[in-house]
Amino acid sequence: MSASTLVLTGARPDRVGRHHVRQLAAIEARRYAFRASIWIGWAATVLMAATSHPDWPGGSYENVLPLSFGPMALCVYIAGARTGSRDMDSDLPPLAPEAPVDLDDRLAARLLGLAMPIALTFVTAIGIAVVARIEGGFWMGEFPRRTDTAQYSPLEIIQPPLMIALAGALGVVTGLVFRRPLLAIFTGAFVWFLLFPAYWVWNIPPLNVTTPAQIMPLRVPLPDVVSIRETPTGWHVNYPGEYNEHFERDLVHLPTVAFHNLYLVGLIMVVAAGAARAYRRQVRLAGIAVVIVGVVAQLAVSPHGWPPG
Amino acid sequence: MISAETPVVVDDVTKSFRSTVAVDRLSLAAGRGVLGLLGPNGAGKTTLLRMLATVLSPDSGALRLFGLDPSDRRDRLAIRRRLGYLPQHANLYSGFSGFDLVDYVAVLKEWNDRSTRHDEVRRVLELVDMTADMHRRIRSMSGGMQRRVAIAASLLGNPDLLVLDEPSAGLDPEQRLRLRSVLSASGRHGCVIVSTHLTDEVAAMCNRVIVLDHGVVRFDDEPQRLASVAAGRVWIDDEPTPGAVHSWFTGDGSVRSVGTPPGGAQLVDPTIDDGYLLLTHDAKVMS
Repeated sequence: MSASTLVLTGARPDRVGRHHVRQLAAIEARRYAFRASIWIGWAATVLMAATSHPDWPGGSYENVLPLSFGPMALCVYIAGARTGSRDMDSDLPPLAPEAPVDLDDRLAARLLGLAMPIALTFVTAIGIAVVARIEGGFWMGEFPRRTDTAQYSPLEIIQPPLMIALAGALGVVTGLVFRRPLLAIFTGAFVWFLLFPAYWVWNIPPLNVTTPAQIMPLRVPLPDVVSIRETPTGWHVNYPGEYNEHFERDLVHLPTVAFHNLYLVGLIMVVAAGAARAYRRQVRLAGIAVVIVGVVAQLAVSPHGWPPG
Repeated sequence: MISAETPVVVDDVTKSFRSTVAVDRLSLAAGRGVLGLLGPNGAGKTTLLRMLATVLSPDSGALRLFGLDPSDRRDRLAIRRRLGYLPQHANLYSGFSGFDLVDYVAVLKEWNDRSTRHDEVRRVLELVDMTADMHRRIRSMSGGMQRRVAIAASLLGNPDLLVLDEPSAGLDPEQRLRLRSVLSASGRHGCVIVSTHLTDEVAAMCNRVIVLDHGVVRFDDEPQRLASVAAGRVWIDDEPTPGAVHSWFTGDGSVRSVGTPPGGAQLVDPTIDDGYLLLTHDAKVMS
């Protein structure tokens, strides 16, 4: 008997060990790392972060984080959809259907393997924030209530990895549901268009608490202000213009950012609940509860207030 | 002799798909050795094999593998740890290399030590003569090579029960011979159940053959005995005989026929093919 056979003999637990799932997740992560789509998305994100600097107050701030991660989100979604549909993209049985590690564990591994693009996104977001700090920061507000040194907070840096986790998990699960990767990819591309290129559709109160990519600074109207000098010196304020009737305050509102991150965590729980085996329903319900808390809390703390306006 | 550890015990098992009965009150037991399953398309071979591979449940009857019940979650896991299965059409991930794919299956089969696992992956790929091409992507492989990769995956860990659905489909003659040798070796320590359309394959490597038709066992014995089913019912002539079940021209220009020979016919020794043809024809007539 070979040494290899010895591994498989003797007393065995009556369930598949978590280390097998972790091992499978490591393989999945390695495969994500070798997917061209991940690196194309990453390159597009870095390029967009480096070059997209619109000439309005707060324009660069909102474009660099989180909007430049739109291409990355799409590409991670595509990679996830292809991975998720691996056992479903034909009328054939799944690979090794008789193996002890079943389809639920394989799904869990595919979701855990997303740690690779999530980590890449996290490192990239940190890198972007560090570069911004080295270069001095971002422009917000108009003279005399202008700053050129606005910096991202840690809470905002967390948003892109959460978005990527959501996009990847959605891809994996959509791949499972649609059974045809192309269909999943087209559907995902449409949803992505709504959430990223058409983000302005959502970026108005109160919808800006529900869109995955929530941009800062918030633009808080100041209807009672008639002169910019009436506003506190620490504020970043814009004059009325083509798109705003009143003076507006550019405000990076961290409580809203924090609860938006919580909202994203809830969405990820809802989407990824399928991997939780016996606790699937509980995780999904908990995710829905977290989503509701995240949305309500954002509405409660947001300077836009509720009802909006 | 059936014991608690007999690898396969099928007792009065039925499986239907809507109105089609794929397996009809079938009973059999299988122990160590290579068991060949013959039968025409739609005979229920694949359905039976899928049930033996624990990926399909019977509608009724009892199925015990190693004395365990595959419908019980814990038992099923214990069975699967001793099982290798090759589906008729395996779903191989086209973007993987042959090595990576078998390695992935090895993880699915709980091989956790990386170095031991890689040794095992190399061993099974060597068994199917894929060492030289193991780093090629699945999508760039021929159908035969893909089949060999799938066979290699099913051989991981020397399973005690190996269930193979038409393993030699798409293999060239040399690879078929190699496969026979591998399966015969597997049959020496465990139970190998092979579905095939090739009677010569059955004769060459199986110590027992079952002919299935319409979900029912028509024959269950040693392969050599399948030939004797056609004893006295095979003859040669210059012309096809009207009323013969099957007639075909042979290489020397004579016509070989099976069925009920006419008076004065020149009878010849039957082969397994002849027995199989007669069995399936008789079953058709009966049904």
